[in-house]
Amino acid sequence: MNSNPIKIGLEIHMQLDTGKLFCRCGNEAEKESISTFVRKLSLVSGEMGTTDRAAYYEKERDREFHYNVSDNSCLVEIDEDPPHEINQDALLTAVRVARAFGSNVFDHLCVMRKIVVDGSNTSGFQRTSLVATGGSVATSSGTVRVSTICLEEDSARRISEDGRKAVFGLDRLGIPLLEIATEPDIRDADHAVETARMISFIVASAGHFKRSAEAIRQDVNISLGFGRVEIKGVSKLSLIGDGIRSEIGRQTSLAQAVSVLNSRNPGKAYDIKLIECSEIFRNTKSKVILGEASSGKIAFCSLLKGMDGLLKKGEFRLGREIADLVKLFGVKGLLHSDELPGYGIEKDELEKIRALLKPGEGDAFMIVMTQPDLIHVLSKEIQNRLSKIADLDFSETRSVSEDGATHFLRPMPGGERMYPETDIPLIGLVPVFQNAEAMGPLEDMRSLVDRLARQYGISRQDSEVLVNEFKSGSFLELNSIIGDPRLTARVLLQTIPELERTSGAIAYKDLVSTFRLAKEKGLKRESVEAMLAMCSHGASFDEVKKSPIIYPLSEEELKQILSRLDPGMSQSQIIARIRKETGRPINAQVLSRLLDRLKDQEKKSGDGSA
Amino acid sequence: MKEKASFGDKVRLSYNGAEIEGTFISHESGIITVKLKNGYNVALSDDRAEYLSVTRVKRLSEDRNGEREISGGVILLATGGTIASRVDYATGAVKPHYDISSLLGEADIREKLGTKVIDNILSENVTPEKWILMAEHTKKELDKGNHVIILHGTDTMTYSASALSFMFEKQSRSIIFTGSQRSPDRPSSDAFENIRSAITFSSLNVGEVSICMHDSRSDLSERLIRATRSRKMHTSRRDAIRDIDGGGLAGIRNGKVSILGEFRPAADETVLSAKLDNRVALVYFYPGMESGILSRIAEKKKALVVMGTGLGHVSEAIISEIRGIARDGVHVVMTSQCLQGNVNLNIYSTGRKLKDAGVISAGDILPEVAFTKAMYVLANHGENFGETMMKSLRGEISARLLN
Repeated sequence: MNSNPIKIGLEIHMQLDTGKLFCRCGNEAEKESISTFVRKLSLVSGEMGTTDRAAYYEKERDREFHYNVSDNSCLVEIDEDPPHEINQDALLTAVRVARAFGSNVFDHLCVMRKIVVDGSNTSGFQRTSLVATGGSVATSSGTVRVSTICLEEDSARRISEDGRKAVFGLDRLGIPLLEIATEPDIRDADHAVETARMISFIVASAGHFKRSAEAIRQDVNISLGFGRVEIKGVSKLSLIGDGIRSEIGRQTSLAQAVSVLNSRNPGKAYDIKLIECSEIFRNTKSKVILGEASSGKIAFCSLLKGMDGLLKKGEFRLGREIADLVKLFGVKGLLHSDELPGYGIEKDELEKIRALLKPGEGDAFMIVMTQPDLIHVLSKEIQNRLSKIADLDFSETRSVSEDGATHFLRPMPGGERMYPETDIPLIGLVPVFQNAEAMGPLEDMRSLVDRLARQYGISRQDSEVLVNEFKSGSFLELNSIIGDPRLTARVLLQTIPELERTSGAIAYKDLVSTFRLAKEKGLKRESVEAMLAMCSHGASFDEVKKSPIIYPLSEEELKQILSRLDPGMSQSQIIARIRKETGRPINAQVLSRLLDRLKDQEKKSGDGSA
Repeated sequence: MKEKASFGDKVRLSYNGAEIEGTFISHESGIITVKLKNGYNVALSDDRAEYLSVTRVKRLSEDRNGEREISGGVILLATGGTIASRVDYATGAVKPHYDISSLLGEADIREKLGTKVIDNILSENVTPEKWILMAEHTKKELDKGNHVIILHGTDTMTYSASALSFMFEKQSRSIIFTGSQRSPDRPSSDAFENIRSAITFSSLNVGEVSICMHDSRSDLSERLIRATRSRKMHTSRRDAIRDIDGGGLAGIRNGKVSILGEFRPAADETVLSAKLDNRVALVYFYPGMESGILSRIAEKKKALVVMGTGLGHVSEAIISEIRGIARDGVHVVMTSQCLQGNVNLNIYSTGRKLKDAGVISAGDILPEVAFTKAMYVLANHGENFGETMMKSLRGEISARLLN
């Protein structure tokens, strides 16, 4: 283990449900794609006249971006109209949150353009502004300092990506994001999770926050002494911990691999020369090679000096560092000598590769399938990455997958990727201060728990969970629709988590629609649950609304079913039977009334025959 | 220390009890703007800020003028506009910028390419004198065997391009105007695609002045439009400049060129008549327009282009005023606010009275084009003004309306 102390900092991004930041579109889309368009992004100079490394890197991949226009986007999101006035509710929320952290709020907001050329912003930049600096949050293992609080636009949602073509949806683009960044005062994975939870609570308690799949995203900055790694877009609290643990493991084993590598290669010469070798695989049986060749890709190979046994053996995974990189250029299969023979590649094919590359003692090699016009860029990028790793500089931006493993995303952006948003004049905050003053301080966690339990008559335990999971905002909004706090709490705390575990996520807008319909038609819990189950299985709300399944059986329908049933069954047997047969909600009152009447009739007819 | 810093200097300030460190951007109207190390700008009220230290930083010369002479290739003539604009740090707004070589880095261009800056103004500041200047620079480049691409603001592009179109009676190479709706300092700028396609279009050797801009909101297709049938139809969209009824000459989609309409091929020689008479006014009629306004506008003018309603009408109340203006020797040309369709003064009595008052109508000519044409005709065919206005010189009037 490295002797440097681990330093961890967080950036918490939370969506505000105030409507979009620089236009008057709402947060939620009904239709996700009413038209499409295609753009390219070009590299531009930063304010100080130099271009940003990460921006350059994206451009090198020369990609085409396809956008689905949702019905909650206008010309602003399409980058065909300059931004409108800033959203005042979002601004007020940002100021109140900043004050809750004890941060210094600036008198003016300078909206900046942060260059992002991965296509996730149609303009090629994200609008962001610094609201406040300083402040802190008190955790059980000490104070964590807040460094900055920013108000920015959320990016477009990435739908798919295939080599040079990426598809995005505009529904999310422009939603206000409040970003709280901390200093690297966090000690370990558990401390990071606790800090994230506390920060999220403070933002949620300002209102304008609804818990949904994408409403919170965290970036984790971690340094073990090999440069800063930023793990981007962690959506769940638990993944923060897992991501940190696996990143520590990766960097530790990578550092060991580097020390072996540097002892073999004192000159650190990592010349990557990709040589065409498609002739060798002319009659290959390898499915990896055949599959890629069928889409026009060609086999290239290169020597990897001193890397034998470091690519994938024991703890070493240097091969993955290369594979993660080339994947970004649309190269799906990377085959290297630690895994060969394998993947259907024959011994004689390998011999020919060896004859071509002439690997020496301790050398490895790799084979990639790619478009020939990418070769120059690809060799340069692999070479740069290996040299950087060999210098024990692991700084970069990474992503995290569900299993907690982190993956290379792009190089760390430099500091020069921002310049002023020239379409928006300075925004004065003094009027906002007055409004914030009038609203008073944010409610703290304990008093919110008390208030929910007292005011809405739900159990203290439910109230605690609602608050802890940042669902109090959703609770208040949904309850205001339906006026049934117990049902609302049950849906948020039981129905939805259960459905999301067993089938699929439910969009917040569908939840709102469900509650509205239930209120309008006087539908009860069983109908609400039936509707949510359909949403969770991927049905659109239009389908849900039209489905008979969500409406309780009418008296007539119940009568008909009962007439077919064995009169000797108990009421609970009958209910189970009807449910199984129809799958529809049963109005218990109507049913028992009918059963009572049946019994009366039996009695009467019994009397009659006697 | 109340020392004044200049752009690019490293500064340290105290502000509201906190210390702010960064790069000095500007100090104006009571606001000090500083760029922090994390890239953000902050704006500090100067009555609460105090300079703690200022470290001078030598600035790189801003003069990175990338002019390149050429013959037998394609020359880009920059006149200003969004396509040649940059962030102005003093005001935070977009301002013209001279260095156009940066625009070329993006285009993978095989043609021989030159660049020249002939002006640097936003297009709303363009004047008829500037059109003559543009025409003369263009002539010089055509004579060197170059195709000419003029980088111009989109706001008044139709005016400039149509003025050049009339002044160039013959042209030996392409003259194409292009611009951008998103400034080139943004990654999403349309400038790069527009320039690249203009260069591709130049090889078609169209012998008319034309405009090349985006054809849709996507970065996939551009359109070459006859200058005299073009109009800016949207304030901010990339495909703002449209051809109105039959001005589409060629299209490009994914690098493939297709011909959309007939055009005059380039001639063997170039004939430029760089003369305009700018004593022309363009007036939009509105309901309730008081009499007296037109006469005041017509003072010292030689021609008045009126945008009338519908088929080319103005209110009864000002017909006699128009009669007087025409009698005093000012040509009155009627165009339509509808933009599409012919002006016809025979249908309603108002039209007949206008015709009787001496008003000239010129088919479906666009108002802005009638305006530049009137300047050209006054200066070059003044003796036959009415007749020449009614004749299509550069495709500005359609013989047959199909839409």
